[in-house]
Amino acid sequence: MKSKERMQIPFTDMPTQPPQVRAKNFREVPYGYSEEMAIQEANRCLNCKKPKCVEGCPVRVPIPEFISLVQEGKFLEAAWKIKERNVLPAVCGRVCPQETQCEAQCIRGKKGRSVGIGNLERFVADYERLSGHIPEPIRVSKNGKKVAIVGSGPSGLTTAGDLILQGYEVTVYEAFHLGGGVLVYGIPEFRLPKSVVQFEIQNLENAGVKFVYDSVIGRIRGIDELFTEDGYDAVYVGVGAGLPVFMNIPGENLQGVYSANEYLTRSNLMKAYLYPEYNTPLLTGKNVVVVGGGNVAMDSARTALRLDADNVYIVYRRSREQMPARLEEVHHAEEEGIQFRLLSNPVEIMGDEKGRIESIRCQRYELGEPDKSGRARPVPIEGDYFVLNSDLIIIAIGNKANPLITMTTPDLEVNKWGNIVTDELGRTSKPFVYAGGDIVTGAATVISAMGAGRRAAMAIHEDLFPTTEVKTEGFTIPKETLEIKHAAIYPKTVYLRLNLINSSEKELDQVKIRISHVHDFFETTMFETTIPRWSPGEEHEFDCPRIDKNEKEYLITINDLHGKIMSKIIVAEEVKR
Amino acid sequence: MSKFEILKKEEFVPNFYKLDIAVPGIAKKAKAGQFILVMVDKQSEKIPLTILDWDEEKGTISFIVQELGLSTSKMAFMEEGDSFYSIVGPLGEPAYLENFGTVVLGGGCYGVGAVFPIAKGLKALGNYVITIIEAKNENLLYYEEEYKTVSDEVILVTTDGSKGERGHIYDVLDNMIEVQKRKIDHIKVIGCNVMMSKVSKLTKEKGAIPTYATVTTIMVDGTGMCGSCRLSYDGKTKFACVDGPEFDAHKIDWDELIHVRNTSYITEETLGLQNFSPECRSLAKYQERTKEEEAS
Ligand SMILES: Cc1cc2nc3c(=O)[nH]c(=O)nc-3n(C[C@H](O)[C@H](O)[C@H](O)COP(=O)(O)OP(=O)(O)OC[C@H]3O[C@@H](n4cnc5c(N)ncnc54)[C@H](O)[C@@H]3O)c2cc1C
Ligand code: SF4
Repeated sequence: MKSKERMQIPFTDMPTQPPQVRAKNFREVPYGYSEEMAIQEANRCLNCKKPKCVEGCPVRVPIPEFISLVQEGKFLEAAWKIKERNVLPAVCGRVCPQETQCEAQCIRGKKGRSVGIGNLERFVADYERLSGHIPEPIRVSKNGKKVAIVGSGPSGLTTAGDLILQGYEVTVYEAFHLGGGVLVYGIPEFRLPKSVVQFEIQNLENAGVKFVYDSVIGRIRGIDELFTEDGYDAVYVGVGAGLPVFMNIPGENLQGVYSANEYLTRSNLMKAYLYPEYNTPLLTGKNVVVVGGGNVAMDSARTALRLDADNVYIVYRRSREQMPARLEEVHHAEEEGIQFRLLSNPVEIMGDEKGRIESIRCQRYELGEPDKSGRARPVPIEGDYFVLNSDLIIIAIGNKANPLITMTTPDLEVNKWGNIVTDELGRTSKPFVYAGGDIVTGAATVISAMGAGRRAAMAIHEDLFPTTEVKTEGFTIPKETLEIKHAAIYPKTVYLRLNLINSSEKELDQVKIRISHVHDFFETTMFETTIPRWSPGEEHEFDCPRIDKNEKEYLITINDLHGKIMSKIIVAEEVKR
Repeated sequence: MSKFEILKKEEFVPNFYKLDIAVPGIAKKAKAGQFILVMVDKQSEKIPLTILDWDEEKGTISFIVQELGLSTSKMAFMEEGDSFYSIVGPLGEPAYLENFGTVVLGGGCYGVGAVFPIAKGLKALGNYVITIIEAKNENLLYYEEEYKTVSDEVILVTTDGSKGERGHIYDVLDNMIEVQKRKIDHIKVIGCNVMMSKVSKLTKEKGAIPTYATVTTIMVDGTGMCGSCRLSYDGKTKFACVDGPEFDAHKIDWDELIHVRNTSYITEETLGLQNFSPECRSLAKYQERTKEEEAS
């Protein structure tokens, strides 16, 4: 097919349950693509030489490659292609903020709609799951080291998945009776069916990961005891950002005010939406006010609607464009009849003599000068208030770091917000303790938590199986396999010359070299190439343009078929010509 | 012994059961004042229960339940050999224990049992321990003999005067302070929030004797994630599950805790109880019924 033809294909919308129907049930909103739809949407992809989309994805899913496979109808192969980089595609296809990540970079988005990368990812992952053609987990020989993962959210699951493939004995400790973190307690069934998450956890179990539920680390065992008593060699902390923020306004402790965490946990994890078949009670309201503008707020509002509310309002301080929620969720919420009260902020909650809420008073805001983040700052309008009658209020204005682990592990360094401090690969101030996901970044996204989990897995492997290292021009490299003959950061390029001095005299297959810059925990690939066969003694050089001249740190990652050979950070100042 | 199995069940007074459960991990770590969150089966809600006693060697913990709501009724129907679906713990900060001198402990309703580990701990630290336990009538008083082993004085009070003194814990305390002029260095109370708030009011007025209360709140996760157990303390919001459950009683906003935070679910809970038909006299039957329902 010619590019011109591809350009002519319109975007394939995913069919959904009609808004009036779905607003009364908890079944998933979109039905998913059919095979024909998936191929049609895949055919819109131009298979760019320098695919921008991949740069937008925090875990670098090989997007054009998997989409080409979809074009050919090779759906299973497409799913396996994604799984090389992303172990939870069925989840990410559903919950990634594609409009700010992969799809934001897609060249087709410049004129019209970008390729539906998320929709396709979801389709192939579902196809694989439903086909039953799940590849047998690769059995690798045990390497003799044990790693404990604390928290079974997306971040912990990714670390577990990566490490089990490298021969580690992996045990995941989870406070709840079910695994998945926010994926099971936060995100509702109508957006991410719990069976999808359960399936992924089952796969990890099949691969050999052990799950120990009902275990709050910091209480039943401290981090130190995981080392001293249980004999773990490394610990990964992926406990999420589970401490709800309240507004500190009068009336907030009245009956009928929930944190979104409590509301969603009762509904999702404890299945209060199936009350009384499930016994956890949940207050329902006829007039529900949700405060906040993120995914959490949308999920709470849409849950309340499904639990028979007549009116559900979202009260948010900023404008619609500034809402951090995924575009699709805002759109679905609007379709379902959620009423938005934007540029408004609650100032007081009023209740009756029995302590039950009756109404909430809000102040109107307008947009003022841009703040530090570049977003127009909302400023309150003096004397401009309105009152919403309400019998249920849900506060969804964010989460802070849960202090349980850091409280009980004083030698773990935290910043002033209580988030654990780590290096680029997740190493904390405590030897052999790593951390990632929301506990490090503050509430963020599923995919960034997964990215962090993956980088920590690299660091754990590097630290537990250190290679002999030599110093070359300010950074260290492993000696036995690939030797960096020369590396330098020039004003316009990053230069690398590598020589294979593999002592076993074996040649390496499919060596992948990646140079990326690391910024705010996000790794953006600048350059990636594969050397199909690399014989001992052979030298290769790479010269890649620097995109952002201010970027001073570069991460070099080298993989062959059998896994990572090394990954090193090089810093501009340290490298001289 | 399987996971979370009931090894021993005793109904020592009507509607009060003591259960010994196999949970070696918790038995190893438990400290006085900590609690667990229990789910009877997959459908249950999570309810907090104070750990009464533990035996590290046997790998068991004990707690007392009073048949009240749906979950505790389900527990009452469980038998030795049955297992719980989920038990998480030990949660909360341990109680503040040191050698204070003379300590008065007050336990009412579920606290009649729950002050036991605290008494034991305080006694071991060399305190002079006076334990007051309160119940409606003599039939609901239990653990008297056990308390004698860990207290220097045990005082019983019943509302109807059928055993021990007549009245409430705060009447006894008031008498000790006002009439007997006894020197009390530290007070700890566990029980219903109303009783604790009254004690708090009393001791605040009588020269602010240090008083600590273990609050009972509704909880979901017990790790600080949901904020369901929040209370106003010294002008700030605190979470009973991670900051407590024991707090300086004089700083708690009792009115809010009693009238607002803890009555949220009255109607829903009653509904749940109705749904749980009393015909199924054993958990096995109950589970069978759920299975049948699932199948149909
Ligand atoms: C309602 C809601 C909707 C969201 N929607 C989206 C979305 O659409 N797209 C998106 O990308 N992101 C979304 N997010 C954000 C995303 O879910 C999080 O960024 C992500 O889950 C973080 O992953 P994590 O692994 O760091 O932590 P979590 O998913 O929070 O998992 C942490 C796990 O650790 C466990 N734990 C905590 N403390 C302990 C302890 N002491 N011992 C043992 N276990 C412990 C917790 O029980 C939990 O299971 C949403 C979040 C919420 C709350
Ligand atoms: S993982 Fe997320 S960001 Fe990456 S390609 Fe898939 S949908 Fe896009």
